[in-house]
Amino acid sequence: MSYRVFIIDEHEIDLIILRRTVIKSGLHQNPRLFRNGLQALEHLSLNPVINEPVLIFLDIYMPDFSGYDFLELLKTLKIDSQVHIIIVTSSVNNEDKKRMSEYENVISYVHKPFKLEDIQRAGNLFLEEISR
Amino acid sequence: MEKIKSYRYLRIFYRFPVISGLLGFITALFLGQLITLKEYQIFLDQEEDEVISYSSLVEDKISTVLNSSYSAAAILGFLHERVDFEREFDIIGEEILQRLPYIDAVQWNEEGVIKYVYPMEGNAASIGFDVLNDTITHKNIEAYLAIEKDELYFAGPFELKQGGMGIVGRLPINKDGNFWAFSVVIIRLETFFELLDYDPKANNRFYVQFSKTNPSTGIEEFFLPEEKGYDGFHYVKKINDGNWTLSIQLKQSEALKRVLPPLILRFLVSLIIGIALYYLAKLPSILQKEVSRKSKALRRTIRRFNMASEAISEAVWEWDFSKNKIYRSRNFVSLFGYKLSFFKMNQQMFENLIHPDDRVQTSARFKEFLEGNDKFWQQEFRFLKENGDYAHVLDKGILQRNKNGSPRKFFGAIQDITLLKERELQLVKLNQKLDLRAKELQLAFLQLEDSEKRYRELFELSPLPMWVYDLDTLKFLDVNNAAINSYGFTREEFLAKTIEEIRPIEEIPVLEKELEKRKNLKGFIFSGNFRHKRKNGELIEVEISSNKIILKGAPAVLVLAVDVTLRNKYIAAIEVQNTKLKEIAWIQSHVVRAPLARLVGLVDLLEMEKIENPDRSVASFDELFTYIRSSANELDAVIKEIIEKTERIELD
Repeated sequence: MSYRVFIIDEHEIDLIILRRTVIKSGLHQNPRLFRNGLQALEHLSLNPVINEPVLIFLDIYMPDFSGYDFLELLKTLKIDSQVHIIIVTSSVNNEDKKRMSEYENVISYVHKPFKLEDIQRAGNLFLEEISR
Repeated sequence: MEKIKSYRYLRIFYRFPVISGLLGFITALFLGQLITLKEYQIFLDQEEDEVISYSSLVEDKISTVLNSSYSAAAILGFLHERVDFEREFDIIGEEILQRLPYIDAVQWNEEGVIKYVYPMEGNAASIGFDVLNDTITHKNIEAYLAIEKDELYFAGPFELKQGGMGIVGRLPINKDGNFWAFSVVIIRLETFFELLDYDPKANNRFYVQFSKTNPSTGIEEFFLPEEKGYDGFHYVKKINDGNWTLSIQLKQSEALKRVLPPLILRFLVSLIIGIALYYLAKLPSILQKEVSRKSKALRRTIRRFNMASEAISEAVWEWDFSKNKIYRSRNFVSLFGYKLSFFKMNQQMFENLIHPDDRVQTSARFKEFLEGNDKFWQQEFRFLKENGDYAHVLDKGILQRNKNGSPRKFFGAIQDITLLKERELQLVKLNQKLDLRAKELQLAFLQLEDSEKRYRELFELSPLPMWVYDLDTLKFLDVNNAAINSYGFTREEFLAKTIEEIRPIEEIPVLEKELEKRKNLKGFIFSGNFRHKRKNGELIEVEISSNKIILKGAPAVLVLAVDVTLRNKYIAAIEVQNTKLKEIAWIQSHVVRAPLARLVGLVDLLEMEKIENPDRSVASFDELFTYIRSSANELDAVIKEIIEKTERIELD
């Protein structure tokens, strides 16, 4: 089954680190990178997803358009079906974790700095999800 | 014997005072009124005498007139043979009238016919009048009566031939044994009454009346105005010289009037005598009654005394010093057991029965008392009873002294106080016990007072506002200084308020809810936070703790009110700070950790690359190194920024 992988992070270095890790983990060889959530949403609406699940690695802390904003907008645009989200954040705040779990399509939570295994485990969760 | 008899009468007199008084009254009345009666009779006799004496005066005057008339008539009769009347009748007449002033006129009548008259003036009409043949005015009847009597006889009063009323006295003159002439005297009625000195119109004491039975008609004629209704003595006298009746009556008898005052006086005197006798008779019976009443009371008193002296626990005694005799009441027997011999005991024998320890002192005190001036005696001592026991006794007495101070009579009573003494002893013991108990109690009380004081001080000096309010009326019952300072009301203002009055209006429903809760709960309650109002209107937040207590018997509530206004302000401030700190923490977790995480991620990548391609040159990792430096710089900038922010919070 084919699927797409997006990485949304404001910070360029973070994007590079996560892209390399995703490739190394074998989850996807060409994940698409976005410097902010709005670009990602634009891409999603221009390339409708039919029977091709999308996995998004989403950073929370983005000053202009935060991860929450992204999740909210995703919900209201009704393009959330088949979109699975793994939160990637440097926050150790439980509050954030609690808030994220309220969104149905958030399937996992990865702390920065992460290891290769963290990404593999989260990727496996996604694969299990879409194989059902 | 005589004495006994009079005593008996006296007894009767004293026994029936009413009858005695009545009898005295009747007797006095009888005697008195007898005198009055006699007096009355005397007065009547006096009046009679007066009437008679007045009558005789009148009679005297009449007889004077009659005598004068007789003299005149006799002189004429004597002279007619010696004097020639034809010539000298006027002279003789004048002479007679001059000497006899009561006679108004003289006449000479021969064989019934009037021949001469003096004075002629006023009488001339009578000349030639034939009296004996006068059947018209019936003067003949009395003329013949005079002839028949052969003496001076007065006819009339009647209407005279010559006019006017008068009486006519005729003296028959005989010649050769036969009637021949009349010697006549005329007295006019006015002259007659003048002579009598009686004026019927005047207010006389006596009523005088002249009357005569008219010979021709047989009717009694009155010469003076007839008056009736008089009640005095009536005197009637016949005067034969003219067949007249002289009647004199006292107009008003004054006998009754005169005896009336003495009659009343005597009646009153009798009454007084009767009453006096009544009281005199009653006096002994009054006295006797008084005596019997007093003696009855005395008997009662004696009986009462005897009963009382037996009933009381005291033995009564009386010492008569003049007879040197001591009387002791029967109670001595019941108190001390001695038989009757005890009553005959003298003072010395009595003193010998006193306990040896008390005897000397008692005797000495008694001797001193008798020789002194005191009136009251009192002494306690032990006294030997017949059964050998000693009784505690209290001897009390009152001494009467003679003028020189020596004892005369001594009255008193002796009382067995043995039981009393025992009780006294018990009482003393009990008292000691009670004293001890009282001291304990006092100590306890002092401790209590001390603790109360301590609690009081705790309330008063507490730095936290406290008060007590009445659970029913909600009135403040007490407040401490801290409350006064905190709320700004004086103690007096507080005590005039209810707890509702230190709250803003919107808090009242809250208070009511709390009070409802308070009523059903006991003991200490932490009520929570409320808003109160100070005197200056400022609202404060207080934390209330309260406890139900009983103050002066009524349910009350002790309240501790902590002003938490400031504390709450601090909390609010802290909360603001907290939010800021949270923000910092959030920033820290994202911003600070982000470059750090990046560094770690880059280092991890570097390691992985190295493991995959161990032969790669260091230069081929330049890209990664650039990223690492950039992230490290970033981290440094972030840390600087956080330090700055924290400093800003502190400055706030």
